[in-house]
Amino acid sequence: MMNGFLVQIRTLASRFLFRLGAAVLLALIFLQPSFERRVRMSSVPVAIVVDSSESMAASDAGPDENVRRWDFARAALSRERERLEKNLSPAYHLLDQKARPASWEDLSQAAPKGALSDVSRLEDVLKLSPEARAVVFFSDGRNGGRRDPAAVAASLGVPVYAVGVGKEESAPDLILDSVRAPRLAFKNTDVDVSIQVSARRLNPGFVTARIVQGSQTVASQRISLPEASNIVEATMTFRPQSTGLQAYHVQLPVYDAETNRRNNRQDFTVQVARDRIRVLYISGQPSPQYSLLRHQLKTNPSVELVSFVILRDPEDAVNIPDYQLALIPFPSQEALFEQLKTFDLLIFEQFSFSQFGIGAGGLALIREYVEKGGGLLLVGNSRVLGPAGPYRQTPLDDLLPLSLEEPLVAGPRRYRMDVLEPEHPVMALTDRREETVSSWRTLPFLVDDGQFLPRAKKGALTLAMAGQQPVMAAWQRGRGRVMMFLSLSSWRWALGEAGLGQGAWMYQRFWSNAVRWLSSSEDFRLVRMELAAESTEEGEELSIRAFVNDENHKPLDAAEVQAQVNGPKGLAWRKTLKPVNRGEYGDVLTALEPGAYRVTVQAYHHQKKLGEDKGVVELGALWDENRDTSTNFPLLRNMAQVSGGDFIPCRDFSSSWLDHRLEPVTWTYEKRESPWNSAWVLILLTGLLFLEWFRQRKYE
Amino acid sequence: MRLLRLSNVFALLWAVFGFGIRPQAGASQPSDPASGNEFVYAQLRHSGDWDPYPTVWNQIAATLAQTTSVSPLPERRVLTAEDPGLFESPFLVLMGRGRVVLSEEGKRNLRHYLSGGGFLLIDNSEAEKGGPFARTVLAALSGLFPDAAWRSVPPDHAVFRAFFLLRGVSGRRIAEPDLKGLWVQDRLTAVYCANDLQGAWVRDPLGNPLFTCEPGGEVQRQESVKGMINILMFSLTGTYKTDAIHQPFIEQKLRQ
Repeated sequence: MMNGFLVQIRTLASRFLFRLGAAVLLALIFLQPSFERRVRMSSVPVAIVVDSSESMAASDAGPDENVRRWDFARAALSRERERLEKNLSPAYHLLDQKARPASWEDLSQAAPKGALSDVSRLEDVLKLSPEARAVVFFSDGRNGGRRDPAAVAASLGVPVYAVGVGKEESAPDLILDSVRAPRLAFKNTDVDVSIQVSARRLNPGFVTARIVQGSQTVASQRISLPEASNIVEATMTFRPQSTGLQAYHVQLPVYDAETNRRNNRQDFTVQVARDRIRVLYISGQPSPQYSLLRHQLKTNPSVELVSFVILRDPEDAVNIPDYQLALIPFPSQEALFEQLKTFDLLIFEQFSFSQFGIGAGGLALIREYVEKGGGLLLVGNSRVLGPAGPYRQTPLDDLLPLSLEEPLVAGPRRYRMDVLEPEHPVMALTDRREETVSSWRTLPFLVDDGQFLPRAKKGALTLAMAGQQPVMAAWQRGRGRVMMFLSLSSWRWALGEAGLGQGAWMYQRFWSNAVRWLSSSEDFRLVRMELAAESTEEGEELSIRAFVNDENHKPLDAAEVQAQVNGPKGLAWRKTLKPVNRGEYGDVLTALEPGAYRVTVQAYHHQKKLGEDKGVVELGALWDENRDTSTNFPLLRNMAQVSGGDFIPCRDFSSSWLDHRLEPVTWTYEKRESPWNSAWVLILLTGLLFLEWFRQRKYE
Repeated sequence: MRLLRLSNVFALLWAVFGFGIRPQAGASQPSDPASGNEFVYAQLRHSGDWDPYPTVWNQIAATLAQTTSVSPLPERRVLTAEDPGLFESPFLVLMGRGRVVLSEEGKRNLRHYLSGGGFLLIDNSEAEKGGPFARTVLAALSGLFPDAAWRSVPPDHAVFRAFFLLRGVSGRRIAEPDLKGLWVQDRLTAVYCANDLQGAWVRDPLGNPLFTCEPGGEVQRQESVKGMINILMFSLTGTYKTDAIHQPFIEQKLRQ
């Protein structure tokens, strides 16, 4: 009985001890008590920091000044590593926009890719290595941080030993210091771009700066090279030819002797908006059609109109001295087509071009103009826009949506237009289909010559009919749009509406629609893209949204929308965008590197391409440091001096130079220990609990 | 008015009593142009002596076709102010003598017509300042647009440069030195000539002028011809000749 009692006591005691031990361990884990202890060191701990920004990629180091600074610094460290680690306690770090610890292997594999070096981040180095008694900083002295490097160095509390990497005397360099361009500009309107250029160790002379879009130079200017350490300013002017976000760059010539060839170029983007639709309206004959349409365009504030009307044909005779006539010569073909690209829309109305010196060459230019995005509207009757007219089998023939190849067919002379596509942007007089259809039915008769082309070409959209024959048709050719209207009596709509006491709003709406659609106005694009950029902790973020309409300009849900993103290093991403709303598709790219990204969105429906939109967006901070990669050893010297350290060019660096300044002495420093912050404590706790369970199962 | 020659007397008889071929005058249903782009001369029939020169359009049309690229429809169109055909006729002439009385419907039509893009030439065949035609027509038209008023057309206006370079208005008899205009929403919609502009055009069947032009004679007649052509061209081209592209050419010619 006594034995049984003793066994029970022992069991209770051991259970108590197990549980007490587990409780103590749990308390230690949760409360994490820490203590400070004094650590004795016999070798000096130093933080060795290597600048890993892009300027360290410049090749002006080494005896022949052709070695990358980065490689030269790493070689110096590699050469001295054994002695450094024997005499000192080095902790390696990389520094660009941020400071981060690195093993020797990290250091060996890293590359100078940081957009800039922020010297103030040396403060972070000392947080990462608090035991460091000195900072050894391998750098070219380029600093992209905003704080004063000397002030930062003075506040570190430890000496900075700066090792200057690169050539102290700067290599010849032509530097594009800055480019200032407006963020917003207007199509076909001059854009002024201000540039600042400096030169170092280059002979006096002139250089030509160019503004380039894609591979095409859009502006150039000769600039006199500035004197040493001076900056010369110049203003360059160009006219954007397309709307949307456009990417350009300013390019200076590159000299053979330049070690930094990247600061000869800077990219910029301009959001180009439509200011006013520029319309060139050429009419072969004064007429009510011309008079009313000209007035309509002239009074439309969104239209800038230049018009010519042929007041006198070559066969007309006037026995009046020329100085009493208000006639001006028709512009020469060269003058006319030189200006053509500045217009969004060209209107030919009953115009027999051949009488006015416009030949096949001029028509080919019109064709090229349309294929590159210009609009073309042909208005006339069958005499000009018929098989016997001047347009057949010319370079313009292929552009026309109605076929000129077949004989004319007789149709009504007096007719009310039968609108086939009331929702087409040209024909939509109101937002509602039914209202548009009924509005067209109220418009007066057109009266024409009663001769019509029999059919529209394949792919062209017949917008309206006169009886059984097409009278209005349109389509897209290349990037431009073309429309034919086989009537010269649309003025009847205006007067007829006025007779009903309702003004001429339908006439005005129709022609306004036509001009906007033909000029590819932004609001009539089938595919439109919006880009949004944001900087996050994980990197840059790019949001892509595409808005897709069908050919009747209604939001299209069943489209396949593909996006291609080309980042600073080529193709970055290609994917089908997800539907997010009615006619809206999108996705987000994350963790991107800073730089310029070109985005192209293409939309397809039933394997037919509806259109595309392109844009360029600049992610992240502008790349500053490489504008000028010349070394800045005075900055390093100053940092060393104010912190009590020293400076040495990298070619002279050795561990003995450092040993001499950091004599190995024994010292102590306070170190805070947290022994319970360890996995072993958890393992011990688990073990105790297991032992108790095992003991209970076996003995109780 | 001096009637100097026997041929003129004959021609006057011809004009008044309709000897020879007289243009169709009474059709209110508009005749359609052949190509859709012809110029239609529409004349307003009113309560006064509305048709003093029934054949004048023949003269004008021939000159217009010969000197310009305009294709005039040979037949004139005669309309009343109440006629719906008014809205198929972008150019309208109101000429004649005596009091002109317009019905309310006619006035409403004319208001819609002018504000919708139509153009009106008022030609005072009386060639008298303050005569019954001038008084009644100008008052009636002014009443259509309370915010508008008749005012002189400036000499640099497009109407004086639409084809010929002119320094002013002419006519059979100079009753007033300037052309008056009525602007609706900044558009010159109507012009009033007090000098019987078309009277200077009228010729007998032998081609001789029916009336002498006072006080300038044949030079004045030539200016009248040019003035009428310019008004027609202005109705077809609007302010085209004030576009910037024309300015250097016109200024250079005016210096000559």
